Amino acid sequence: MSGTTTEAGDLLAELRAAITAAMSRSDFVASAREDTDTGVVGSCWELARSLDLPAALVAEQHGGLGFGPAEAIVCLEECARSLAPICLPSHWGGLRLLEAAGEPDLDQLVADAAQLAFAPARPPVIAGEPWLQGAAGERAPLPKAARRNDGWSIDGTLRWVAGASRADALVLIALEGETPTAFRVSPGDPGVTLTSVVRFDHTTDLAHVRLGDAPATPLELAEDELARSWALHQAMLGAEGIGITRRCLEMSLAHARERYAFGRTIGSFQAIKHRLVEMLRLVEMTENCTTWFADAWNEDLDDTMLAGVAARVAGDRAQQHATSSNIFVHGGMGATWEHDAPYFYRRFQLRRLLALGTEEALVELGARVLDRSWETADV
Amino acid sequence: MRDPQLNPETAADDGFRAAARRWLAEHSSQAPTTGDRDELIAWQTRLVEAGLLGVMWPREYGGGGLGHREAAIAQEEIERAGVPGVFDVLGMEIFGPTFVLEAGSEQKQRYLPGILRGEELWCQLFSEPAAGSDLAGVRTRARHTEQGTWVVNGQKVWTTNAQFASFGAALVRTDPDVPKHAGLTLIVIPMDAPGVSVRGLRQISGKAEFNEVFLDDVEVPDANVIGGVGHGWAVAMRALMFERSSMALSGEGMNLRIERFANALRARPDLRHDRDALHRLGDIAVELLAVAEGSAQMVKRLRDGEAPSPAVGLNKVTLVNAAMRGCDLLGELLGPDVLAPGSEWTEAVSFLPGMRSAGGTEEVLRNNIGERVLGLPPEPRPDKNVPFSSLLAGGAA
Repeated sequence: MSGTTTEAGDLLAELRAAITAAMSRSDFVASAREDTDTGVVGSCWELARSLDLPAALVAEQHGGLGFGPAEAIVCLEECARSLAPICLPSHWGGLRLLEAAGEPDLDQLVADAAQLAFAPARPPVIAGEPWLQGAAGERAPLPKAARRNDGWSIDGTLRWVAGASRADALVLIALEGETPTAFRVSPGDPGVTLTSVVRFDHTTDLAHVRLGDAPATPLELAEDELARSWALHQAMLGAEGIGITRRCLEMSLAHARERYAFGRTIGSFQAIKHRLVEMLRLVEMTENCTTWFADAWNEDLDDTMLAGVAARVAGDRAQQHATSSNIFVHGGMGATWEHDAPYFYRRFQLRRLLALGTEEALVELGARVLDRSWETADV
Repeated sequence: MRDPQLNPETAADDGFRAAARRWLAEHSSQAPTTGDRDELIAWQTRLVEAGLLGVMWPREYGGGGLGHREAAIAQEEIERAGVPGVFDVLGMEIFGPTFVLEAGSEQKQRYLPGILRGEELWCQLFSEPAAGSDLAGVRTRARHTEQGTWVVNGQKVWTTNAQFASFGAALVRTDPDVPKHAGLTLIVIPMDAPGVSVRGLRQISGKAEFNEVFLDDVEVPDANVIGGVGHGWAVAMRALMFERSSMALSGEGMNLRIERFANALRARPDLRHDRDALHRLGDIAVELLAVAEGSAQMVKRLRDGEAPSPAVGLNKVTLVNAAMRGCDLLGELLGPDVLAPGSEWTEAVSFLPGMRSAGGTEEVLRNNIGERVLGLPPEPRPDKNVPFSSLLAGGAA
């Protein structure tokens, strides 16, 4: 081992500065406003590619940057802070499973900067509960996988898959009998129907995926690895939440220091000040959780699962408060099309509903905490 | 993805940690297991002698003369061993460190060794009935005499350990004719001096964990002034900074971890299938887990010599509010027995509302952090640049 916490922290700070600088060359909020007008969903894939972000988590011998969770979190924070229209958690989640399974064409996918989409699925957290996927309000079952003569086929529907409509390959979890298994599916294959959907936020590419006897390649992965993919996905959502919240806090602070009303700057009023301090409190809590996640990754599966869902819940809580408070602090002008605040609000309104949604994450967190208590008691 | 390489330690750290762990392994069985005060003080003294407490205090006064990293490692090992640590928080974690920075060398020689040996406990004579969050509004008056002494009159409140303490560090007004912050001085009061009386203050639980302290013509020498006459505010702020980081790091000590709430809920095995109950538990868990992780990470940062941000005060806010909601949840799921006499939860339900204001109310903490961390402008302050004696509060005193 070399270096100290401080040196590791310096490297992360350099990474952060580099991503921020690159992102600041584009005005993604302006693009979101334009895209919202024209009804399209934006993409900054080429910019991400120029920064080697798509393969950031892949090992260096496969052409990636070999980033660990701590570096991944920094990238996600900064991309989200700039409102970059990209679904890195989905892409990274898919690519990581391909790498873990030792897919032979990984190096080629990395070289081509192929776009992946991963349909995250939650392992059972309550006794008797199945694996679940989909958006809030659905608690949908996994698709079914079956052997056929020349390989495997999948039947089922995956709704609200982030990044799917532009993906070159899909990674999903399906049930082979009772056993969850990860599969790779090509969007162009017969039996695969992708329907793009746009819901309120024009920075998030979304699609429904219908699989009818669709050909699929199984990925050789242990079930723990599939569980970890869920934790990683949630932790990455938490990291994005940090970026969104920090940006909302910056915007609100700038306004609260300048805006003058009733004879003084509005930031001097406790009602405004406490709202902003609450943003700080919630974002720092989320940072505690993502740091915990990065430390637990590769160390302890139970802690990883717990830290992942805690990060997601904390990040969603932070955004819930920050994206709406940012509008309130700006008063009437914050609620207009011309202002930047609504685009952060729009994004969170959609994203909180993906990957089973925030409220389902709270159920998971409660279940994991209670389970851990029972396990300690059983020992 | 490769392993995270955060928080590596040097060989010297490893050696210190190994020595600490060895000592604790050999002696942990002798650690007190009850709340007996004398045993806890004696154990604290043994930890000091073993170099596990008072780690950063100067060697000449009986400390370890080491740095943040060793102090944090020692703290981690004490927690890991599951044994009690500091008992005299006021002396060991607040006034000792304050005196190291603010007191004269004779004062250090007089007070520091007694704290480290556990022979002289301290109490904090700051809050008053009319000065809590607005601490600079204290009215306790010290008047200088021709004999070179100070005569102190007034009342202090919320004083932990006043009935056991040898000394109290009192924030008093020495000059009412200057603006409120400028007229304050920190004076050491021997608690056995004539004119000092201590009365237990019963709280919600019915127990008296705090005290009221009355000071009637208490006479102390000039030598008891710490940090200079009129500089009391700066010294008090230093002490409050140590108090806040001590509180932020002692979330464990308050035993308000989510595990404790979850363990209580095992009384109802059916809750493992109750999605509504799990949702509500999750709602509290996220706050308590984030605070526990935040404290653990802060220990690592302190180890690297980073000063705690004033934002650590938010940890207390999170902890207290989440724990209060946790108690609400236990009541709703387990029924009125949660409030039975002597129940651990009766104790928590009783002390948490007071904790919300300890070290500053939540509202004042949020003001502070808004101003000091976020750089927001303060509320207009009509009391800032006028003599204390001309203020409504000062004039009424």
